[in-house]
Amino acid sequence: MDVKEYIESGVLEMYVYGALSAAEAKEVAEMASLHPEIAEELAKIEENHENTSVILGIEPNPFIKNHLLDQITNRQAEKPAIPLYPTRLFAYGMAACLTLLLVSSIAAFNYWERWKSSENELLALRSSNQQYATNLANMNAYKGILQDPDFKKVHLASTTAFPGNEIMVYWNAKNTHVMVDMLNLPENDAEHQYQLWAIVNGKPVDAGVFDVKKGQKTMFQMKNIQGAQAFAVTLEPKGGSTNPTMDKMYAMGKI
Amino acid sequence: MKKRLTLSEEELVTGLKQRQKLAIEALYNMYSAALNGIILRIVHSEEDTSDVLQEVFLKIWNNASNYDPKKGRLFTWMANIARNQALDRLRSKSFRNENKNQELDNSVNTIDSLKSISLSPEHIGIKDLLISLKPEQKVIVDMIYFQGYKQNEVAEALNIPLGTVKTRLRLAIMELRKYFN
Repeated sequence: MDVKEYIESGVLEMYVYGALSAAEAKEVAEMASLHPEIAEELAKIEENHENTSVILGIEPNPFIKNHLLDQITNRQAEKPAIPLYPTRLFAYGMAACLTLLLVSSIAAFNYWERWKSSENELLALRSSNQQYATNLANMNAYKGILQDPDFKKVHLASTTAFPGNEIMVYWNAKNTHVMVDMLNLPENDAEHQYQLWAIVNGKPVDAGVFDVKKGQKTMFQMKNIQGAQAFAVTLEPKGGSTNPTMDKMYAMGKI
Repeated sequence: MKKRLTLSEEELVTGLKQRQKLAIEALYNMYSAALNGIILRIVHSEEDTSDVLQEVFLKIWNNASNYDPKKGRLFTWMANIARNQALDRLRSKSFRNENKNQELDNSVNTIDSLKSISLSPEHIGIKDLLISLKPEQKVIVDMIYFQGYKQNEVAEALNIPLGTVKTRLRLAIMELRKYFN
């Protein structure tokens, strides 16, 4: 075949513009490899095809570029066949570890909270247990006093100067024990204390000092007294006085 | 305007064969518009064109080892992939047969529609050249270049000898080559 005629036929253009069947295209490629003139002309047509196509180009959607490059990068990352499995295994392992960590942290926090509150409950129980024990001891003391026929119950009534006070004194004439029970007395301050006086042979005898605290219901054992005729309570400077301050007498009662 | 990465054809080919991401990025910068134009003129749908363009670049990336520089220019190889991928899309959507008749009735449509597209000044020359082609050449360029028909399909559709189809394409392309000389 005449090379010039071949070039002039337009088959090279058809080849470059992709309008040939696979068999026809193969034939052109063979011709080009055999005849440098054909190869040279083909190169010119190809160059023109490229230049024309670039000029007639239409910019694609700008989002495509990054999407495409991401796809290519991801495929490249997925490409190695061997590390894939360990990588996934590692990822699953990591996920499992993190889940376990999270779950155990929550559990640990939960138990810590419970432990804290149990400790508080225990403290509260201990303190209330102590309270019950104290109360029980008091009750037993009361019971002992009430069951003892030798104890005399002396009710100290309020004086006109300090109304609304009540005190109960239990006095055992035989063993001379004196117990005082504050039924109702105002709380004393830090500089003062209440003092119990026994009236023996018409004279006041010191029977000891005591404090009154709000909410406290305790019975105190006072000094032993013989031959008491009456009892009285005064508010004295801390530690008590030798003689009662008469204008601070809160309560008094005769036997 | 951001700086566009470009490489020589030799660097591109070497980079692609070595699967360098830089090469495919440069290739995209240099040829995405040209290939996108080829695809869009065949499928006539922006959405399909975006899909096909991505398929084309993935094919280029994955099949770079099949490209033989001795057998022709890199762009010719890529344009073939783009054209075939676009035609596959048309066939899969069974557009081909419907469009075939429709476009034969207005077979100068693609080229003449360039009139209404405002292109940059460097485009005007090639646009004018295409529009001013003889009508019998214009229809061949339109069908072969812009719509991806095979030479025998054109001969059958226009009912003219295959040899005439080839020489008309040749003459039209020679006209276009003048523009670049």
